[in-house]
Amino acid sequence: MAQTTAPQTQQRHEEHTESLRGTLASVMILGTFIVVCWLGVFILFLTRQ
Amino acid sequence: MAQAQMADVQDVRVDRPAARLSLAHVLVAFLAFGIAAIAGLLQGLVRGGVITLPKWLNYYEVLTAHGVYMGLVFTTFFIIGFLFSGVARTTGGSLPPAGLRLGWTGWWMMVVGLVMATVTVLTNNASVLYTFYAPMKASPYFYIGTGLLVVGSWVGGFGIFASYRAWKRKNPGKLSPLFTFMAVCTMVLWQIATIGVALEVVLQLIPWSFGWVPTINVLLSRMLLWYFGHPLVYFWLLPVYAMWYVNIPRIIGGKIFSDSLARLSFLLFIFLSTPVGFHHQLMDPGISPEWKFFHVLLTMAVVVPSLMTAFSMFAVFESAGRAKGATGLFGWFKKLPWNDVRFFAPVAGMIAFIPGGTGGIINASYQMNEVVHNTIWVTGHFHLTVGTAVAMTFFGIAYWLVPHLTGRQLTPAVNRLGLVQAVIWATGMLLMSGSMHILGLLGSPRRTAYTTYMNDPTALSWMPLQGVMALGGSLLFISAMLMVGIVLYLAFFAPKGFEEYPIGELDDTAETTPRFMERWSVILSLAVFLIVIAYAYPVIDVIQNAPPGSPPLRTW
Ligand code: HEM
Ligand SMILES: [Cu+2]
Repeated sequence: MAQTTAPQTQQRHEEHTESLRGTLASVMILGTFIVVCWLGVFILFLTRQ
Repeated sequence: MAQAQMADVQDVRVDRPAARLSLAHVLVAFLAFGIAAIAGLLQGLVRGGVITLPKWLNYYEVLTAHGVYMGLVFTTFFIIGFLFSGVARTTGGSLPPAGLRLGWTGWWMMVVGLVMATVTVLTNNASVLYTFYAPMKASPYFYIGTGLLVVGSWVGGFGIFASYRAWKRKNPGKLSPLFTFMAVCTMVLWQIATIGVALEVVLQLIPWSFGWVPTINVLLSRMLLWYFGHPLVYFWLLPVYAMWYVNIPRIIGGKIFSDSLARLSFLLFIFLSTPVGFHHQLMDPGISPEWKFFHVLLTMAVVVPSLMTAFSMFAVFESAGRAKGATGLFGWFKKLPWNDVRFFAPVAGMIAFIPGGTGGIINASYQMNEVVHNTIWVTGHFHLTVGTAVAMTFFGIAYWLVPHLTGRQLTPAVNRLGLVQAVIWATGMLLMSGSMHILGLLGSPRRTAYTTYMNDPTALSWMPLQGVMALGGSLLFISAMLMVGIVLYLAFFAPKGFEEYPIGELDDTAETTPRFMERWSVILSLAVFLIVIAYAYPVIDVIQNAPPGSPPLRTW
């Protein structure tokens, strides 16, 4: 009885952690976008000094 | 059983009196929006060199009308109407008598103020743009009108507070519904923010514009304006975030990701959105660099709750998609209801908010502000934030809110038309705001009618992009007219029926929300503390070491 429930819990647990991989990737892309744009204008700022 | 209970929750309907109050606000909002869109079209066409305004119509008069109607009237009326409906919806379907009474009083005050301001603008006696910067002087009735608009919105806010208190009294010890909490946070933030502009209008602008005092302390007036000007943008944004946190999960068939995270982000906005106003005055004289730097630091801190919101949204989307069987890294993306305008319009707004927010970080990066200050980049920036993220979320809300309030239905045909409307808006904004950003980096100023600066080669090189801007503005205008038509159809002509007011539910596994989040005395004290730190010294300084006062100017 205990043996049948334990793996099930684990599987659900795995599913839950796996389920936000796309979110992690998305926020990384978002962060990269912000940094790249910011650097673009920063470089413009420096070249116009 | 749980399923049946859930169905019941979604069947709650905003009752007639609350619906009427909410609808009255929403309709004025879209009326103002339609008029302002005409002004916006004219501006785009003038700047693009497509048309010339007749002698009797001043460009800056049109621009003032556009800024005031879009930025102050459309937003404020829509927000208060939406918040009232959501408070009613999440506290059992109705508003307490005090809430209704205050709501209507506020509505009438705002309408009277709106009419006064409109008359002064239409008679060309208030072409001071929507920031009403001194020493440009408008008719005193313009300031009294906009002042009434603000005070009316306070009274509306008191109506929301009264409804919250009534619920609390009936449910002692219980955590308030998430939407109602967010509505209260929004109006608390608005109370704090508008103190600055109220002081400016009452103590400075009105006496000076009546001629009771000969001159004005311009530095102080700008400081008070921007004390209000930044939290103003969060007043626009918080109801939008409320929609994203609370309504979107239900629309996509998912769950609210985290009640505590949502509440925490709203509290952070109350703390951090006001003591940052100097990031609008980075190029102003009279404020020392240390104070500017301090405000820049706090500005970077107020980015955090927005990043929390972005994370939450991705998480809600991914969880909902995976629950529907999505696989792979981005498979959930395809499971989202892209053909549902209630989802599509706000999400187009979220996407626009990514470059919009990024631009904001650039604007606030102290020295880097030099690159963009007073260029049309700034206009491009806020047409992405308030003009797209906020406006498209308001559209998305209107598609279900209006029929819900009038007992009608969002039909499949209107849904399809809505998708077209949203796509046109997004395309128009991509063109208009995109070219504004590039033009700004090339040095083209904002708030400037058509000019080639005596055929200066640099100014001439801007013209093709000004043309793209005009094209984008024309698409936006078409979309705006469609939207106004759809709102009228949904309010008065759509088939009768029940349109769901979507309210997301919490995940069963969600953690409980810590109770300090509703301890208002602590929250307000902390907010006031930060404001005093950020503003007390500089304000005293500009009063004690005041610059020479300025007499009024009429620049038009
Ligand atoms: C039909 C859609 C729209 C068009 C064609 C449009 C076009 C424009 C243009 C061309 C300008 C800048 C003119 C200049 O600086 O010389 C402008 C300014 C402005 N727009 Fe829009 N816009 C639209 C929608 C919106 C929306 C939805 C909002 C906000 C909710 C908004 C808020 C503003 C504000 C606050 C200003 C600044 C006014 C000032 O400088 O005092 N606009 N708009
Ligand atoms: Cu700001």
